[in-house]
Amino acid sequence: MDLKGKTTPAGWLIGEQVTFAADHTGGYFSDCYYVQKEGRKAFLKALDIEKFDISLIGWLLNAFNYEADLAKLCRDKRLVRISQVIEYDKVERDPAAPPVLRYVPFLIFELADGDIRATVDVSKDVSDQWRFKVLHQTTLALLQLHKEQIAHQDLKPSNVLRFSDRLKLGDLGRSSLRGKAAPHDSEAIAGARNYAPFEQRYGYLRADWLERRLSVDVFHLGCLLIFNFTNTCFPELVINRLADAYKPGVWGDSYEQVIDHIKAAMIDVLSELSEEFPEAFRRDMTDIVLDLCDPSPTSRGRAGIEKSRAGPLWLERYASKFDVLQKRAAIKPQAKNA
Amino acid sequence: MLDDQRPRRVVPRWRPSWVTATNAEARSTSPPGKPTEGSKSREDLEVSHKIQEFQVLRSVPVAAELMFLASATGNEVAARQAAELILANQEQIGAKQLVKSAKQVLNADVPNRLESTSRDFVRHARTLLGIDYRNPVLLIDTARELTARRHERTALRYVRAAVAMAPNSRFVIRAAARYYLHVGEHEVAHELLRRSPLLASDPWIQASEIAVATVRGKTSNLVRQTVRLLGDAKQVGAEMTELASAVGTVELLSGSNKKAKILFKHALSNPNDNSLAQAEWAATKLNLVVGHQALMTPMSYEANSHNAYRRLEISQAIEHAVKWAKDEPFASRPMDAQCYLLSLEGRYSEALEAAKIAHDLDGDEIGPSLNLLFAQIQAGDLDEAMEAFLRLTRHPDIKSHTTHYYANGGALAYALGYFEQAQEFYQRAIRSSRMRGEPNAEGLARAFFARLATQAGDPQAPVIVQEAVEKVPRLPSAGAIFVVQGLVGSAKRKELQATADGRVAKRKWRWDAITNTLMLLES
Repeated sequence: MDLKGKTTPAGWLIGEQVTFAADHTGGYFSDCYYVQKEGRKAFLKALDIEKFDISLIGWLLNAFNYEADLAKLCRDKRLVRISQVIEYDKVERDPAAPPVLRYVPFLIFELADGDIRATVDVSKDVSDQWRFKVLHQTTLALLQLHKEQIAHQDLKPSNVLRFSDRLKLGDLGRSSLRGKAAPHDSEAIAGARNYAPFEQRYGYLRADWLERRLSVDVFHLGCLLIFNFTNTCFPELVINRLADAYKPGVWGDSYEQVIDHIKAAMIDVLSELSEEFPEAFRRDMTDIVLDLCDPSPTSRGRAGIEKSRAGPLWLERYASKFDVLQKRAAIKPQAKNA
Repeated sequence: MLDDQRPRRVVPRWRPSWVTATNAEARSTSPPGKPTEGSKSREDLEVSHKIQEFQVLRSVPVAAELMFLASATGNEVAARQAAELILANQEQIGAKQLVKSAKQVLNADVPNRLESTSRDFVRHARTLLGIDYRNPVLLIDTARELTARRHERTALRYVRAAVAMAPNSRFVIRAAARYYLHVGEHEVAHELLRRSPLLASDPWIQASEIAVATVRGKTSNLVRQTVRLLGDAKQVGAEMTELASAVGTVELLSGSNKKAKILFKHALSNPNDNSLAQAEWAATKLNLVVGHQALMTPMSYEANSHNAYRRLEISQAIEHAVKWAKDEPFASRPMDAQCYLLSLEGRYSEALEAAKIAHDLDGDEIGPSLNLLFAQIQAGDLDEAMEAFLRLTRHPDIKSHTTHYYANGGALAYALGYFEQAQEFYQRAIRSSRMRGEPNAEGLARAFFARLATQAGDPQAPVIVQEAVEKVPRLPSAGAIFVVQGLVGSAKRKELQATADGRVAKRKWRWDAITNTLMLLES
C-alpha cells in the first residue's frame, strides 16, 4: 500500500512511509507515514488492508474503529497525557479497487520526538531522576485513562512517547473501555508478550473488568520500572526461573495453585535485580515491584488498601510515590564535611 | 550390634521445592490449554515486527526486548543476534542481569544458581523473606532446613504461616502434613489434609490423607470411592501412583487381595519412590514382580540402599544411604542406616559421626542411643561409652531393647579386655533374642560376637566363630552374614554369599497396622 503524495480530507499531505523510527508507535496491522500541513508535522497510521486476507478485513476495521473511537474520546475528554489524535477519516487508496478495498481508514497523531527506550539505555549514563520522571508521568497518563474507565493494556517502553514538554502514552490499539466490547477482548494476551502479566500467560482470565483489564496496566507499570533501571523484561526472567513443571504451556491446573511458585521465583529474581537499583531507593523500588507485579490480579497494586475500597484509581498513590522518588533523586548528596 | 529394624513410615516425602518440582508430584493433573492458531500467528507477527525494529534501531533496550521475546518464542537466531549486541556493550553495561541473560542465550559459561541446602540456606532464605515474607514455598523450604537442624519449634512458625497463606497449594499442604507427623502431631497433620480444599480433587492430597488416616489407626472416607474409581480403570497416570498404593495397602490389610493386586499394579505402572516402597512390601504377599526397572525410579535412595544391603553390596548400600540422608536431612533413619552399614564394613569413626547425627535428630530415642553407644565403643571412646552404658540402664524403653543392650555390654567388655564378661554379655544377648523371638537380632549378636572376639584376641574366638558360621546362615540377617564372611575362608565366604543372594527374591515385610509402618524381615 502506498499513500505517499495523497492528501487527507483535512488537508494533510502524506509524505514518506516510516519503516521504524523512535518517534511513533504503529502497531502490527498498520502502515505509518509522516504527514505535513502548514509547516506542522504529524504522524499518520493507516490500516493496511492489503496485507491481510479479505475474511479478516471486517475484524480489522472493527479494531481500527475501536481504537479511533477511544482516541477521539481521549481528545474530547482532554486527556493531555495521551497522544492526541488530530484527524480520523478515510483516504482513497486506489480508485480502481473494489469498493471495500478502495478506501483506507487512518488516524493522524501528533508527532513525538521518540519513545523512552533510548533515554533509559543501561549502557549509557542516565540519571535516576529521569528514570523516575518517566514512571511518574506514565502513572499520571494511566490515571487519566483509568478515570475514564479505559485500560490501556499495552503499556510498554515503546508506547511511552517523548514530546517537548511531557511524556505521553501512545497506541490505544489494545485498550479496553469498560462496558464496551472490544474486538480483541477474547484474546488471552492483550498487549505485548514480553510484558504480559503472569495470569494471561496461563490463560487465566478474571471476569471482573478491574482485575482482568485495569490490573494489566498496573502490572505493566511494574515492568516499566524494571525495564527503566535494568533493561530486562521481568515476566520472562521470572518464568525462566520457574521449574519446568510450573511453566505456562506445561501447567494445566488452576492458576491459584501455581501462584505461590511464581511468587517464590519472582522474589528470587527480584532479590538479584534489586542489586541494580540505586541503593538509596532499593527498598522502595522493591516494594513497588512486589505490589505492582503481584501474580494475583486480585491483590495487585493494592498493598495496604482495603479490598472494599477498590476503584479504578488505585494507582494514585503510586503517582505520589514516583513523584517523591523523582524529587529525592534530584537532590545531590551533600559532602559529609560540607 | 546395631538396630536395623526401625519402622518405616509410609507418608509423603518432604523435599525442597526445587527437587519436588522435578517429580511427578509437581505436575498438574490437567493438561495445559493449547494455544490457538490466532495467538500463534499474533506471536509470530510480534516477533517479526520486533526483528524489523531491531534492524533499524540497534540499541541495547531494543536488543533486550528482542532477545527476551525471541528466546521465549523459540526464535534462536534472532535471540542470538540481539544477545550479541548486548554483549558488545557489556563493558558499558557492567555485570548486570541483562548481560547474564545474554550470555545464557549464547550458551556462554554462566554459573547456575546454587540451589543450596547448606548452612547459608536459612540466611539466604531469611534475606528473601525480608524482601517479602508472603512466600509460602520459601517458608516451607526454610522450615524443612530448620527441622533438619532440630529447630522444630522455630520451623512451626514458618509452617503455620505457609499454610495460612497457601491453603490451595499441594506442595505446602503435603509438606506441612509431613512436618506435623515428624513432630508427632498426627491429628493436626490429618486435620490439615482433611480440611484442604484440594482433598476433593487432588490425588496427591488424597493419597496423603489416606496414609495419615492409617497412621492414626483410622480408615479414610476416601478409600471406598477411590477403590471403585481405580479398580475400574484400565490404566492410571503417574499422578495416581501414590493414591493407588495407599488404597492398595488398605485393601490388602482388610484381606481384599484381588483388589489390592490390581491397585498395586496400577501403582507400579508409573511408580515414584514412595509407591515403590509400598509395592515392595506387598510384593511377596500378592506375587507382584517389582523389577530392576522399578529400582531405577528417581530418588529411590532408600529402596536401593536396602536392595544393595540385601545383596551384601555394602559399599553401594552406603552410597545410596548417603543420598537418602541428603534427601531427608530431618529424618534420623537414613543416618541410622548409614551408621549400621558403616559398622558392618568396620568403618567405625565414620559410623560414630553418623550415629551422633542420628541421635541428635531423634532426641533420646532408645534405638539411635544404642547405636551411638556401639559406635563409641568401636571408635575407642570408652569413657563416654561407659557413662552412656550406665545411663541407658535407666532408659524407659530399655526392656524392649535388652538384646541390643547386652550385646553392647559385650562389645564394651571386649574393648576393655574383660573376655569372660564379654562372653557372658553376648550369651545373654543371644538368649534374650531367642526368648523375645528376634532372629534378626540373634544373627547380628552372634556375628559381632565372633568378630569382636577375634579382634580382641579372645582364646575362645575360634569356637565362637565356628558357632556363628553354623548358626548365622539359618538366621535372617543379611548384615550378620556379611560380618561372618569377613571371618572365614573363601570357600565358606562364597557359600554365605549364595545364601544371601537366594534370599533377595524372598524378601518379606511385616506391617504394623497401628502405626502404619513397615518392618523389613529377611526370609
